[in-house]
Amino acid sequence: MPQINETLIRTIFDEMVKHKTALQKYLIVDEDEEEEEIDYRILGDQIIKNFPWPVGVELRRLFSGSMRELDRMRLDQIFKTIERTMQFLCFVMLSQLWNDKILKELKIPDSISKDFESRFTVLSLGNFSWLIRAIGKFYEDSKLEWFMPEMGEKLDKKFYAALDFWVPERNEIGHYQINLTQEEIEKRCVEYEEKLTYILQSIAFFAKYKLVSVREIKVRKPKNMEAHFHHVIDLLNSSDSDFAAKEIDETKFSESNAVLLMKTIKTLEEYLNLSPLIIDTNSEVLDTKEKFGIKKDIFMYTKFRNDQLFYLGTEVTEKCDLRTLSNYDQLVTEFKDLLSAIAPASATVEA
Amino acid sequence: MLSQSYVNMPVSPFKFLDSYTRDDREIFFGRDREIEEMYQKVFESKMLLVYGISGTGKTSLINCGLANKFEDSDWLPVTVRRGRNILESLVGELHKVSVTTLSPPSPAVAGTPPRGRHSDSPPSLGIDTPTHIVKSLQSIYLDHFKPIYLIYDQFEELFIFGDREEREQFIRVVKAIVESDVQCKFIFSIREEYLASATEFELTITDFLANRMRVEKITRQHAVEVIEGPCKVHGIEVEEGFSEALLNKLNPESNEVELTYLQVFLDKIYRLATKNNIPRSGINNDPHSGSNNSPEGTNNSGVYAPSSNSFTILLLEKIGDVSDLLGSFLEEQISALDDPDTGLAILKSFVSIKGTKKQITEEEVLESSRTYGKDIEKERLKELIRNFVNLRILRDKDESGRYELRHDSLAAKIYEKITLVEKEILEVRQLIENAYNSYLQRKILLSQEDLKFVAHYEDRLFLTKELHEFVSKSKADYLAKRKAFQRVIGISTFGFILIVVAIGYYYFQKSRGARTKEWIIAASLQLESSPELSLQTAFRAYEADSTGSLAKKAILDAFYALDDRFPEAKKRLFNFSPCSVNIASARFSNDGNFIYGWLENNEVKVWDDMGHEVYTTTPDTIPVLHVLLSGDNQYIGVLLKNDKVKIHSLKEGYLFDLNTTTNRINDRYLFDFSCRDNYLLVVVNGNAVNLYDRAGFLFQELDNHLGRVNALDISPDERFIATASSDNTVNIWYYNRNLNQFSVYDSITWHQDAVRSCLFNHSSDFILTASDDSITAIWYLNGAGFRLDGQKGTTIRPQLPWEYEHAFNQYILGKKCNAVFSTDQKSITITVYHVKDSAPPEYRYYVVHAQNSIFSNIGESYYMYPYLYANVFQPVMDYQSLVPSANDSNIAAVVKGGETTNLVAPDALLVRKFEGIQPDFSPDGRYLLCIQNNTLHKYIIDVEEIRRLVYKEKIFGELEINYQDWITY
Repeated sequence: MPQINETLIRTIFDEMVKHKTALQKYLIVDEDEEEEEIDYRILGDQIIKNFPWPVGVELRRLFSGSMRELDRMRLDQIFKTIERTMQFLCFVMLSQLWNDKILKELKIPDSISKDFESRFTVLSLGNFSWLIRAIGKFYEDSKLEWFMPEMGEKLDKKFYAALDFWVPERNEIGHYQINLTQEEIEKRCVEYEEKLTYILQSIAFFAKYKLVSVREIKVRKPKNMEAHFHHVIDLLNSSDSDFAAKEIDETKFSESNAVLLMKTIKTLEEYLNLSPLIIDTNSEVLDTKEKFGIKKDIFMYTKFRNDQLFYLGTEVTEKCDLRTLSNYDQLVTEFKDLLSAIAPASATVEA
Repeated sequence: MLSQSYVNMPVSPFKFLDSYTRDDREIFFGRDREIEEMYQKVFESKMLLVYGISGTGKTSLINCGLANKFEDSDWLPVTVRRGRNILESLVGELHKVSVTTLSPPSPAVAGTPPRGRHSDSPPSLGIDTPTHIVKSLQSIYLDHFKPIYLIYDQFEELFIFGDREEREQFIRVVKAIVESDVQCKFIFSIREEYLASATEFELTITDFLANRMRVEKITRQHAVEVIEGPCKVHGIEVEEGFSEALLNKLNPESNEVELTYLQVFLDKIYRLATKNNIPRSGINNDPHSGSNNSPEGTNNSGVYAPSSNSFTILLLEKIGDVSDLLGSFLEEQISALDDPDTGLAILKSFVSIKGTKKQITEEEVLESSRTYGKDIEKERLKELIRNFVNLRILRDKDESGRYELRHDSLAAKIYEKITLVEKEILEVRQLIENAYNSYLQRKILLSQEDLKFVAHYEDRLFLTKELHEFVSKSKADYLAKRKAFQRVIGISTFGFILIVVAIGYYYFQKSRGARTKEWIIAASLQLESSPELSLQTAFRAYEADSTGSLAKKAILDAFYALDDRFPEAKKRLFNFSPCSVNIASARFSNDGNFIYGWLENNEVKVWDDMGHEVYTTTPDTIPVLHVLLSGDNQYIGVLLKNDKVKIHSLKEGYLFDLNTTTNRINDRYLFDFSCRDNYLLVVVNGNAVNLYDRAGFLFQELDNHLGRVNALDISPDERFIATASSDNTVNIWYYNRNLNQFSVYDSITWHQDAVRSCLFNHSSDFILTASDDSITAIWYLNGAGFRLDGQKGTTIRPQLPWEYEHAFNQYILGKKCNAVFSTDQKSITITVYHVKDSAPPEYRYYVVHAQNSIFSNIGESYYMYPYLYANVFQPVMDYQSLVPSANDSNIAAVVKGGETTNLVAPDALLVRKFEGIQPDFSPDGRYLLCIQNNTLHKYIIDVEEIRRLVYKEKIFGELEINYQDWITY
């Protein structure tokens, strides 16, 4: 009988392998060893590492020893996982929309711009689902090219329907609106795991892409030579927050203090800047007393209220006031730009 | 009897001396700032060092504060205490948390079965421990999918109890983990006093101390939270001002509060509050007050009945002085025991040499208690330990059966009670334990210094069996080494002394030699001016070194110088009247009492030892070839050239003639006299040998040769006659008493050519042969008879100090016609001859002188191995005769054509030249006979004889030594 999470792991991993063939090596069994089986724990670890950090860390929590009982904790974690996944997907799609709006001068349809502000200033699972579907449909109808081409294949009606499943479930059970018996909890754990598997399977193509954080860009201009830009980036595909650093020298520069989704880390040619929706505070220097409250983590935007941005950490689970970040004002400006880009008719941004 | 204060009490919400755990989140107050700081820092690096003085709550901050900052899914703590070995403990803890069976260590510890989480004994560490541990951590992470936090509590134990190797091994593991991508972080909790010790790890991990956090004493402000927070949670009512009053009581002057004491104090207050009914302050507690205005909560008589869950200021006052809470707590508990001394001895066992707590087992407590003078029964110990656990002085045993004090503060208090002597014993014990651990890994025993140090306390150390054996082994090893060293020293000393003695002897000899030489030089210088003084000086030199020939020469020179001065003295020694014609030959008789020979006119003469003539024959025209005086000096035989032997009686005159056969090569041994009654002579006659009686009648004919007999010899014991023949053989005849005649015993047939001589040695054991085949050989007669049994390989040790090998014959080439032993048998004179046409033979003489030779039997022959005179072996001049002396190995040599005889010492020194030629030594070796034309000279050559003559016989009279002459000279 498969262990808990085993089916989820194997299914997602098999899908990931299709997009990233290098992962196939983990499916190879030494034929000389009669009893050797594929260690699904390692597959699970690879899943965590190959999904972007905000998704991966929730998957790690889901796989952890504390969540292996079919109980409320597991149920809540499944919800959290799907929420972070949808949030991340939403932010990626929105970042592309915003980018394309600027670069390609897209005309955002009213179906998006009209409700964008209201839906986006206070985020919820339902809003994520709506945005994903709206942007996805827009790109499909407009036959626009996705930054991640796989999205054109995977984001279909079935997928959207799968997303839609979660909202009422979340509203009902996730907020403890009803009391579930243990039997029901167990049943839902199994069901939700299957649903989650499908979602993650659908976005398994994320394994091809790298989520990085640009910590530093230095200009290096030797005499009589072209300037080049020395990038120090953290690879945010990891099973813990001790991200591996990498240095890239390019003749072009990317964007400072930004979280980027990149097609390849070998070159800075193609990337999608997810700022200000996803930010990294690790490079922040805590040099004042006011900054002591800042935690070092990858944060995702949750709401915008009173001209203030609110974020939620991925590893740090408690609330964190980031208003003392050195680039906070910049982030607010960017967010406002985003709002005005997607919903230009909006004059105020109050919730 | 146990103290009733702490038994059967309700569970206190205050931790007393225990640290807070994750479950104590609700009652953990006053540490928010530190918790936040710690939470922040734990993400900054893979390692975090938390330090502070004892009692500041480091462990609580980590296990409660920090732990509760994480969700359960983000926190997998693995707390490690050093135990016996920090890495062993780590591996043990990892095995506890692993779900999947961890892979075994490297093949270096093959045979170690894989361990799962339920294994009882810790696994062995493999040689690739860092890699193995990293793999284990990775596996554990995959089991749990939680970041692992390795929390090293009481990290200072590594520096207190661990050795350098353990620390080096440990940091290598840490480095491997840090450099890997395994999801693992380190939190080291260490007492501030040992922070500097941790700097040694910076050599391996440069930023080991980079991420650190100091935990300070709690402030009064926060201490209030510590007091009131748990009270609120547990519904304990706190009177206003109580917290301040408590803090004032605890630490009136400082803003910092000892958390340990605060916890203990709160616990005590709680127990007091729940034990007694204590009224609030300001309330009339007099039951007879009669007041009808009873405050709420009081009974009708006005006595307040407070809730047991309330902390009041009155309660505080009741407690009294709290300056040494822990100390008084301990005292109280110990004094309440039936046997406080035993209890204290047990508690002392839980304190390290540094005054910190340590984890030990019951068995170790038993051993340690003996050090403190208490021999406790096991059951009694169990009981007492259980009591201490109940009293919360000791923490209950862990999985490895180890107990420890609840807090370092208790250890500090107990440490104060350890006497200086006991501390020294602890130190010794620690030394032995550390050395034993080192021995287990590297086989290094205790050094001499360590053993000396341990020896002082040995009778008070109660060691485990292993430690005791270790110390004994160290001692044994040291003793063995010392003995070996002493042996070496002894041998060296002996060798040194030997060398010194040898050097001393050498220098003594040398100095003696130098002194001798000085005297000899002085003697030679004195010779001309004062022969008397010279003689005296020469004797001094001789007495200093009688072995050297220089002194002898000096004596002879001085003597003969005096002899020249005193011609009358010469006559007293030898008064020889010159002959009418030159003397052709002369020699001493066998006993030395006579001198006999012949003149050039063929007269045969016999003189006594004073030179007086005692017999003479008439001159003859037939040349005399050889003359022989019988051993009894009664008869004389004269060999004539006409092959006749004339026999004379010294009393009766001429007796008869006998026929013989001369050979012109060596005619000296054609006849010989016998002492037997029945025959007188043995005479060669052709191929036979005839025996004649005193009347000249033929007694017996020995006829067995096929060729001419060249020589014969009668053995000194008269039992044998040897005949050497041209038939290459030597026949041995023995005297058969039964038959009263000689019979052939056996023959020597080994020679390849004519045998020219065969002579017996003086003891009749050996025959010396000389042959034309150029070989000279010695033959062993084996006493009763000549041994020709052909037994090979038998080694016989003769009395003669000779060995003579074939090879030697090669150095003295040529036909040998004669080989004769000297009287002392230390020399053999060999005569080599050469005949050219019909000219007379030319002879060369060799004296072979033996030293320390061994006579060996090789086959049927016996050989000599001589030590030769250099000038004999390779003569620098041609000698016409060489005669060895009888007893002192001198040689009298006459150079061809010379008129003098050289007396040559064994070291080839020319001792003296004497007038005359044809030298012959007297049988006793004291005199040398020389022929000078018609005169015989009898020279004294023996030093002792000279001494006797000069100083005893005073042949020169009283010698007056004129020192003035010497000085003047």
